[in-house]
Amino acid sequence: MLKFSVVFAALLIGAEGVRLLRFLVNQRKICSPVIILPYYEKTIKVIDKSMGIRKGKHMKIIYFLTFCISALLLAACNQNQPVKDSQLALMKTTNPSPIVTNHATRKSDVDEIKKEVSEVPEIYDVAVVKGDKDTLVAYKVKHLHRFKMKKIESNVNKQLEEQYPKENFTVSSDYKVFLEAVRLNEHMKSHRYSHSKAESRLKELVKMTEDLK
Amino acid sequence: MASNQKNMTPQQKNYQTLQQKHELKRPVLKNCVKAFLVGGLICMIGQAVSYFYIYNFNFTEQSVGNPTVATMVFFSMLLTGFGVYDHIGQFAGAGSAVPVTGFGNSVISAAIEHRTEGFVLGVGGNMFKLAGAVILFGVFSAFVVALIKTLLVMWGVL
Repeated sequence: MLKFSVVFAALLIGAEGVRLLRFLVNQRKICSPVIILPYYEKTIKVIDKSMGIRKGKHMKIIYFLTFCISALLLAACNQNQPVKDSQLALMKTTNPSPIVTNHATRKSDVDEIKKEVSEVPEIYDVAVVKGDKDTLVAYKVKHLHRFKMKKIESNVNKQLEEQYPKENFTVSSDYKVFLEAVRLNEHMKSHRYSHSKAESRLKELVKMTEDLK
Repeated sequence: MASNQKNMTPQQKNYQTLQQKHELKRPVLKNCVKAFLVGGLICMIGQAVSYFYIYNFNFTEQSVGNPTVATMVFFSMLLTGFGVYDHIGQFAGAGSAVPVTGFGNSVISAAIEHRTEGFVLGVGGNMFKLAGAVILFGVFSAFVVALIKTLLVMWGVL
């Protein structure tokens, strides 16, 4: 009896959910894949008949279908949006172009810094942000060299400071710092950040990096 | 074991060889593969959780460990409560016990088991029955390592 009522309740909830979704589709509030949902109840019945499933097994099928449909919904609504670099910055090589917060500074300097750091064999993805005072260099270390991360960091810092004694470098291999550098890059490119805002964000990043040590 | 074998009658010896012949062998390799896959899956979920925290909150790679561990223990707590983690444990063995979720499972399952004995002496007293050893030796080994590091720094080795 209990099983029966549970199955009944689940079916009822499912049917009510379908009705609600149908209403939302009609009102054009959610995207198209939901249109397949009206066939939900029918599908369950067809599967039941063809496989000769007892009523108690309804739950499993309902769970499975709900899972499939929610996966479909989540995937389908994500399709038409352009993928930003920062969304995948930790999973693949992004190679962001170096940026300067102040447009008066020469860009060739930062290009050179980026080239310099990229040439280190253990490093594969470099982001450089140059502010008024500080220069932030964030990079990713190749997987098998991650044991020697501290050493690589001090070597890069030393090399840069010898080459550009006037600059004040902050070097980091932390993923978060790299991600934020890529995000800052995107904001600057889309002109969402003014010079002062970018500069203050850079200062925050430098502070975050120093807190790590 | 050796002294036992000496005192055995020929009948007993025969029986033992027969038993050894028919005894099912432990599928060590299969168990290892299962543990590897499930343990790896749990760690993958942990990695996804830590990336989630890095992307959406102000956590760096170093500080993201704490919220990730807390979240994983919370997940295992829910799964233990719903009785799902037992099945995972039965299937994967060490694969589900070694990651931090196994620690959460040992705390919660002890708490559930002793719930009938009351909140203070039952749940409170028995909650860390299994996990207590982990905490004790974790704290102690951390103390020893910190001591060694302090001495090395004092002597100027590091």
